[in-house]
This record gives sequence, structure tokens and C-alpha cells, in this order.
Amino acid sequence: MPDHVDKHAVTQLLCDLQGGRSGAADELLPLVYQELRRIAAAYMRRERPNHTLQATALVHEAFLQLVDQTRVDWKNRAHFFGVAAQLMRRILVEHARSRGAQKRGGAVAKLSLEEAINYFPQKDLTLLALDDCLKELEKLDPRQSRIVELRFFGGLTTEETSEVMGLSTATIEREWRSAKAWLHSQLSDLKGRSTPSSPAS
Amino acid sequence: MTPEQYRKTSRIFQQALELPPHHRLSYIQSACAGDEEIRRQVEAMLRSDTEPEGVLDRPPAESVAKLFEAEAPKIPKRIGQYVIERELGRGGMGVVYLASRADEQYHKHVAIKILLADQENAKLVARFRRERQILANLDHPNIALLLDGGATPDGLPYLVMEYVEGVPIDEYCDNHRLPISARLDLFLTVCSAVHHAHQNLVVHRDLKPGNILVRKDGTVKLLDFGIAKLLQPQPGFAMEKTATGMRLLTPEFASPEQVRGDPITTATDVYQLGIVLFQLLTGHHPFHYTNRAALITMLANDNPDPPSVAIDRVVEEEGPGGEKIVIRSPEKVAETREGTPVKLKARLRGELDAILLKALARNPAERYPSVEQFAEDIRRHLSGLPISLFANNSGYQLRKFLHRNRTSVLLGATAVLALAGVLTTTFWQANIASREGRKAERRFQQVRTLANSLLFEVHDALATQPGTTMARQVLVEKAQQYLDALSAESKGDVQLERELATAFHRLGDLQGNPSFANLGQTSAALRSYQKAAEIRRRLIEANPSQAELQVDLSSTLDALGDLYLTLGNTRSALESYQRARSILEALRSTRPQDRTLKVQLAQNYQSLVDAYLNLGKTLEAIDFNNKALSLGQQLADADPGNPVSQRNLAVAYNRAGALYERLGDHEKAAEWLDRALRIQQQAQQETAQDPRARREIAQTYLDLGRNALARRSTAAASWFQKALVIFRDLASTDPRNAQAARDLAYAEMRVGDAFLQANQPAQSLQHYRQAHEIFHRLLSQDQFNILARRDVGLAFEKIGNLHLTTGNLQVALDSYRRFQDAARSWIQTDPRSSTAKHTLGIASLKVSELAAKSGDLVNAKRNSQEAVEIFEALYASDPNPENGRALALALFQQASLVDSRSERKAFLGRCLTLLDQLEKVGLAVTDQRIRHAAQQALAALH
Repeated sequence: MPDHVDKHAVTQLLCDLQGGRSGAADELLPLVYQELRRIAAAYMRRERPNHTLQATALVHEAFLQLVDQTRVDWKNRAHFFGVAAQLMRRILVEHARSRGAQKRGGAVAKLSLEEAINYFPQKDLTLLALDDCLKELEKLDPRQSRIVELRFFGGLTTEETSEVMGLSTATIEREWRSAKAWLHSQLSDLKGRSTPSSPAS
Repeated sequence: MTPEQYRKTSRIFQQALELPPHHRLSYIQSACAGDEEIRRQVEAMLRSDTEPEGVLDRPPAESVAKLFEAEAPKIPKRIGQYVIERELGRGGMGVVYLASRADEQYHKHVAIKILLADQENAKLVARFRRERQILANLDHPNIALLLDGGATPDGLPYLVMEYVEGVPIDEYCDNHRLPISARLDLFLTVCSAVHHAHQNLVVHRDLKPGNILVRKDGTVKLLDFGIAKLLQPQPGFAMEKTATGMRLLTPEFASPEQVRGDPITTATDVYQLGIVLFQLLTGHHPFHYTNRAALITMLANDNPDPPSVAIDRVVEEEGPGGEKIVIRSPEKVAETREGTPVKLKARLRGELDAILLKALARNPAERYPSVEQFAEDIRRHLSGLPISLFANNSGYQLRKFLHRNRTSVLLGATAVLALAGVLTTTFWQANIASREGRKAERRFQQVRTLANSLLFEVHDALATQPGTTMARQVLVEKAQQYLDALSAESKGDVQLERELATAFHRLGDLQGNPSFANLGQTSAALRSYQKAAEIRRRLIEANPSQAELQVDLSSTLDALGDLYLTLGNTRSALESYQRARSILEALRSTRPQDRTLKVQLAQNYQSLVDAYLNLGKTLEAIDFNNKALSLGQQLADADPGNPVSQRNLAVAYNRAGALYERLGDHEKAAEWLDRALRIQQQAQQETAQDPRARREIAQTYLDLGRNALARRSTAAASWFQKALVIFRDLASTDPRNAQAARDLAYAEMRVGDAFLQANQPAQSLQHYRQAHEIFHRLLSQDQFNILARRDVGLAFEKIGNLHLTTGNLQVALDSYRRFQDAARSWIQTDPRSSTAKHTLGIASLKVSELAAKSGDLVNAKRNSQEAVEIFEALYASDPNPENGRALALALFQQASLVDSRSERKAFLGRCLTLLDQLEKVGLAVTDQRIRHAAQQALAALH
């Protein structure tokens, strides 16, 4: 297997995407996914196993590895980070869905139907609930939802987000703060946030 | 909230933030201008904004690298306790390595098979997991052993198998220049291994010399059940279609149905074994083909050459210089077999030609129905007995007889006399009945008396003795033969025909009525009962005023009902029971004090309880149980010294207990069970040896144990153990008795439950395995017995539960899937059975949960959706607490899997409403954990 994905191909796909070629996104997605995975695996193998790899570092490294820096402008960057953040979100949410199982591998003995309730894993509800809310936000304000995806799931800074989205840092800051406040108000945080939830809609 | 409203909310929030805090509220008041919803929202956002750290302020995961952990395939140097030495080969499924144990001084080699496919490749993973479980079940000296299995640290499933150092069977035979008989012997060993696999419902699908190795010591080993497919349909698995099947297949060893893409069954293995044997005997493929395309056409259209003809083929290959080299010729193949082509041809012609052409029939239905029958003909051929294929040819039979007795024929007359005996017996038997005269008449009466004595006195005496199922069968069959012969003589003799019907009825009981000691032959039993019913109907038509004939018919109808339940036909069962009931109730209205009628009717009511329970009509079941109880009480009161009446009453109490158990009232259930036990203990003193009485008391022990388990009492284990001791004894003294075997298996399962509850999984597994083995044997003896199929499924559920607790998720999932398959085939056979539906619902829930745990959300969702639909329908038609609780569970599970927040909310809401409903109508839901979990999850959403 070649060391990793062909830089030229990914760069070309980004340009195609910008040129509006349909299907380019579909082709790009698996390549980015594969690269994210490769980097993560290399981390687990080479580095101290407990070393924490943040989404930010991962996405940036993938970008460096995959894209010919001399051939892209900020719009290509935007596409790339958009795709990467989206993938990170999917992976994190799916991971949260199945996480209960790994924590509770050796549960106690259970027999009857009534007791089957105990089998059900405790899902990481915070992340799942956040994902739900984010889907709602997407309908209400797609731009804010995109900012959240880039900043929270993709791990980008305000500056990077502003660059990727082509908006001023002030706008990003304002919109991020607003989206965050709305999301937090929607979430009843399990970890002890005392904010009363808004009345059920 | 609309996008416009949201934009407005956002804007007001952002502007409020520009202001000093103490001006914010008044600004919001005016900006919102009476829009309360927006105002409340903005205020909530401002409060959130001042919170120190929210979810979005922290990174979403501590380290994202771990998320990918399971997704990076790499081959470790070491797996578990094994050190990998070298690669042995690669196949469609993965790579096989040679490895040895790292922690032992002497090096025992093993073969480790690792699935290389991506985790995303769910189909391959599923297939691989299936293989692991299948192999674990196939414990046979000629099947390569599965030693271990698991997942590598990267999450790749692997299998550790016995490493077989050997050569393919065809090479082995040629290297040792084995003559035909020795080749056949070796082949029989292969058949026994394949037969064993078939009994475990596993088809190999890829039998070929390369998968059948012979070791230096001559031991045959079958390898690679890699593409084995369970005989049972696997709807949950979305079985790969022919395209993939073909990819893994070796075309030279394909069967016509594999090429066509038709269903693959044991007949496929029969065909492939035919090819293997053909090659062993002739050195050639059954078809004389030039390339694979030609072979595929021939498979679909042609019949193979008989082996004795195939050996005439000459096969040439082009040498390096373009010259022709003969690689196979009559001389060459004969040289390693019988010596000369003439001898080889003579050896193959006739029987072996016929056997192989039968095995290689294009249409699967025309092949040997089983590998065992294929092998049996080879064995008969080897020992000079007539093979099954020529059984109807008398000239052939005679030839065989003379050949077998060659020596004695030469010696003298004995054999000739024996031969004469063989040929005349049937003739004589056919004529005996038509003799006339007083002598014949007297003989007729003697035979009849004897038959009746066998049928009633001797049979009934034996029935109270342990271990006599087999003896009783011989007896009833003999009696029936006599009566059959006599009945031809006596058309119109009511009494005689009545006796005949009774003989058929009793034969049916013995063959397969689950309510009695029986031989587990459900289909045969059904036929016997049908014959009995037919005779009895005819008699009633001719003699409409004779009440006892009607009673007779009603008892046969009851028995037919039992059989229909066993065969999974609840509708017909109910019809039979109801017809019997209307006959009996009509008779009783004219003779209210008739004891026989009461006994019959009490029996009938109990049967109706079972049928209605199965149909999910709990109220009707309770109704009939009350009727049975009151009749049983009357009978017992009228005849307090009769142990049978007392026993029957106890059985009715026991059923009442079971009903309360179902209604969730464990206390009431315990009361009834205690009452049953008291009577049974008393009656036991008088009938200590009677296996029926012992069985009934052991049943009560089991029910008491289950009751204790439901009440979380520690007494459960000792009740189960007590039952187990009795059932073990009953089963071992009467090994042919299917009822005793089934009882034992249930007791084993319960004891397993108790061990599991006591957190002793190893002991638990032992008992579950015992249960599974018994259920499995019963099913393989009686394929149409749908309850037997369900039992096997239940054992899988138990084994699944166990593996779940020990964290062995793959095996648990696999077990649950088998459980689910059993439930599905049950429903297919008996679409009206609500018990079947309930079982499928539970199975789907469990599969869903396991699938969710292993990250397969698509399957998780599909299965929980299915469970919700099943329990919704069941609860709508029969709102008993069992169905209600199951529905609540299914809704809860579904809530955890749906994508949108609103859907999740809706499911949790329905779950809670349902629990409230159940409580309101007083149907106890003893377990509050569902409620708490649902409330918690709902709170998390707000």
C-alpha cells in the first residue's frame, strides 16, 4: 500500500468541488476519512499510547498530508475543513452511540425479561443530544451550525474558521457565541449544569 | 421556531451582549415586543452564556486517536498465547498463519485464521463470526478442531484451529496406491464427518480434495468450514447471493444448484462428495470438459459419465516443447488402483456406477436424501449386501443372496431352505387371513383376545413402570398388526373396529404425543391419530346413538389437538379441541354425573387453556382453567382415595399457578404451586414408582423454582436441582422417551439459569450446553416438531445471555441471531401463535441491543423497530403485563437508536405512558428500572 493517498488527486478533487463538479464530494469523503484514520492509527502505534490527539491536530495533519499547499486557495481549504469536520462529527457521534458497551463489558448476571433493561448501555447522551440539537440548528441557521461543526468537531480556531468561511473574525465570534448559548440552553447538561431548561416546546 | 424567529432571537441576544449587563433585561423586554417565546429564549441564552464551562467549551473527546483504534488493521506478531511463525496461505476470507503456543515448552502448532477485511465490511465480519460459532459446535475426530477464537487488539476476529499436516485425500490414495475398497473405506470416514456437520445444521458447500487432508497416520481431517451456511434461513443476515458465493467457490467442485444460484442444502454436499468419490475412484472429474465455461454448461444440461466409462478417457497436456504428454489414461489410473483397466472397469461397473450417478443427480431431490444414506449404500456394497437403489429388483436380490452365501450354497441345502423361507413368508402371511372354516374363526378370536390383552392390560401395566416406552411401542405395533390383518375380515364389526381405532390412537400417543412418554415421531403420530379419527367417524355415522363412540372420537380429537400444537398449527389445534368440547358438553347435558365424561372434559378444558395461551388470549385461558379446576375438584372430592384424580387436580393447580405467573402475580402463583405440591407429595407415597407421577411433581419443582427466580429468592437453585435429579433419572431409565429428554433439557436450562444468577457462568454454560445438545438431538429426530425447533432457539437465547454477561459479545450476538431464526421459522409455521411472536420480539430486542453494542446501528435499529411492531400488535390484542412490559422495553430501546430528538422524545413518552397505563389497570410491573431509565433519558433531552 502506498504510504498515503495521492496528494495530487485530493487537490484536484478540491478544485473540482469548487468548480461545481457533482460527485467530487462523494469521492473526496472516503479519501479524507482514510487519511484521518491512518494518522490516528499511526499515533496509536508510534506515540505514547495515552497521548491525547485532538481533533484540531488530526484535521490539520490530514490537510498537510493530503493537499498540495501551493495549488489551493482559501476556498479549497474551506471545502477540505468542512469535509473533515463533518467526518469528525460523524465519528464522534457514532462512537458516543456505542460507547456504553465498552464501558460495561462485564456486566452482572441477568436472566429474565424484566432484567433485560440492564443490558441497555448508558449512551453518551450529551454528545448525542448535542448532535440532535445541531441538526435542529441547521434548519434554523445553517451558517451557525456550520461554524459549530468547524469549531467544535473540527477543532478550528476563530481565525481558521473565519478564513475557511470567508467571514470576519468578529462575525465568527458573535455567531459562535450565539449558537453556543442557544445550544447550551437547549441541552440540559448531565454533568451538573444547573441552568433550568427552556419550557418544552 | 421558524428560521426567521431564530434569526431575530440571535440578533436580540447579540445586541443585548453589547450592552452593560444591567441594561440588558429592559432592552430585551422592548426588543421582543410581547413575543414571549423569543423573550424566554433570549433570557435562557443569556443565562447559558454566563455559565463557566459548557459542553461546547471542551473538546469533544479526550483523544480522537482512540476512536480509530478498532479501525486500523495490522497483523500482530503474537495473538493471545500464540506466536505467529509464517503464513500458510490466503483465501477469500483472510490469511492463515502457522503459529505455536508461546507459553509452553513443547511447540504445538496451530493454524490461525485472521480476517483481513475492513471492519466496515460487515458481511465478511458476519460470515466470519458465524464460522467461529459453527466450528465450536462441530466436535468430531475428523473435523479440524477449533481451539480458540477472539479478536486481536485491533479488533480483527481470529480463529485458532488445529494445524493439520497432511496431503489432499486424492494424492494420499494415489501415493499409497490404495485399491478401490480401501478408498471407499477412507471415503466413509469423510462421510461420517460431513454427516455430523449436517446434524448440526451445517453445510460445507466447498468439499474438495484440498479441504480433505489425510495425515501420515492415515487420519482424515476436514478443513475449512469457511463458507458453511446454516441450513436454517438467515433472514437477519441478508445472505450473500450467488455472486459472492461463487467468488468463494471452486468451480470444478460446484454443484448444478450452486451454478444456478438455487438454495444450497445438504444435497449440495452429497453432490460434492460425489465428485470427490468419483475422482478417488477414477482419477477423473465426472464431466469430461475442456474449460470451465464448458463445465458450467455441462453442469446445467448433461449427466456425468458413469465411472466405469470415465476411466476410458485419455487426458493430454502440451509439454514445454509443444509435444503432447499423456497425463491420464486407462492404464495410468488403473495402475494406482486395481492394477489393470479391465479389473478396474469390472470393479466400478454396476453398483458403484449406480451409487455415484445417484449422488451426482442434477436435480437435488433425486440424489441421496442424506449423506448417511449415501454412506450406507457404500457400506452395503463393501459388505456384499444389496444396495438401496436396486431394492425393488428381485433378480438382483437373489443374485446378491447367492453371492453372499456362496460358501453355504456349495455346502448344502441349509441355505436353499433359508432362501425358500425368505421368499415364501410374505406369501404365507398374505393368505392366512383368507382361510375359512371353524379353525380359522377360532384362531381369529384368539388373536383378537391376545391383541386386546396386549393393548390394554399389558400396555397399561407397562405404562406405570419406568423406562418402558420402547417396549410399549413394540407391543402396540404388534397388536395393531394383528388387528389390521383381522379388520380386513371384519368390516362392519363395530367392536373390532373400535379396538382397531384404539390401537391407532395408542400408537399415536407413543409415537409423539407431547403429553405422554413418547418417541418423538410427530408426523407418524399425526398419521396414526388421523387413522383412528377416520375409523371413529365412520363408526359414529353407522351407529349415531352410541354415546361411547362419541367419547372415543372426542379423545382422539383432543390428541390431534396436542399434535397440531406440536406441529405449530394452533388454528387446527383449537378447532380440534373445540369440536371435542362440543361433543363432550352435549353428552354431559344428558348425563351430568357420568365420571368418564367429567374426566375427559377436564382434560379437554386444560388443553383449551394451552391453546388459548398460545393464541395470546389470556382471558379465555383463565376462563377454561377455572372450569377445569372446578371439574377437577368435583372428581377429587367424589373419589378421595383415587390417586389419579388427586394427581389431575394437582396438575390443574399447577396450571393456575402458571397463569398467575403470566399475570405477574408471583405471590398468588406461589400459593397455587404450593397447593399442587402438597397433593403431589401425598399421592407420591402411593405411586412412588409411577414415572408419570414423578414427572408431575418434578414439574411443580421447576415451576416453584421459576417462581422463586422471579421473586429473586435464593430458593430457586435448590428447587431446580431437585427437579433435575428426578428428570435425569426418568430420562436415563427411558432413553427413547422424547418427553423425558425434553423435560430433562428444560431442567438443565433452569439449573443453568440459577448458576448464572449466582454469577457462576462456567457451571451455567455446562448446563446450557447439555440442554442444547438434548434439544438438538430431539429436533434432528423430529424435524417437523416446531416446538423442538423453538426449544433449540431457547437454548441459544440462554447461551447468548451467558456470553453477554461474560462480555463475549460476538458469540452472544450469534446466539441471539440463531434464537431469532428459530422464532422466525416458528412463526412461519404457525402464524397465529402469539407465543411465537412474543419470542421473536424478545429475540429481535436482544439482537438489536447486541448490534448496537458492536456499533452496527443499522441492524440495531431494524431489529428494535421490528420488536416495537410485534409488541404493539400483541399488546393491542392481549394487554397482559408480559406484553406491556416487553413493549415498554422495545420503545425504550428504539428511543436510544432513532436519529432525531423529537422522535426520541416521542418514544420515551410512549414508553412512560404505557407504564402508567399498566399500573393504572393494576397489572403489576414489578420492575421500576425501565421507568427510571426512561425518565432519565427524557430529562436529558430537555
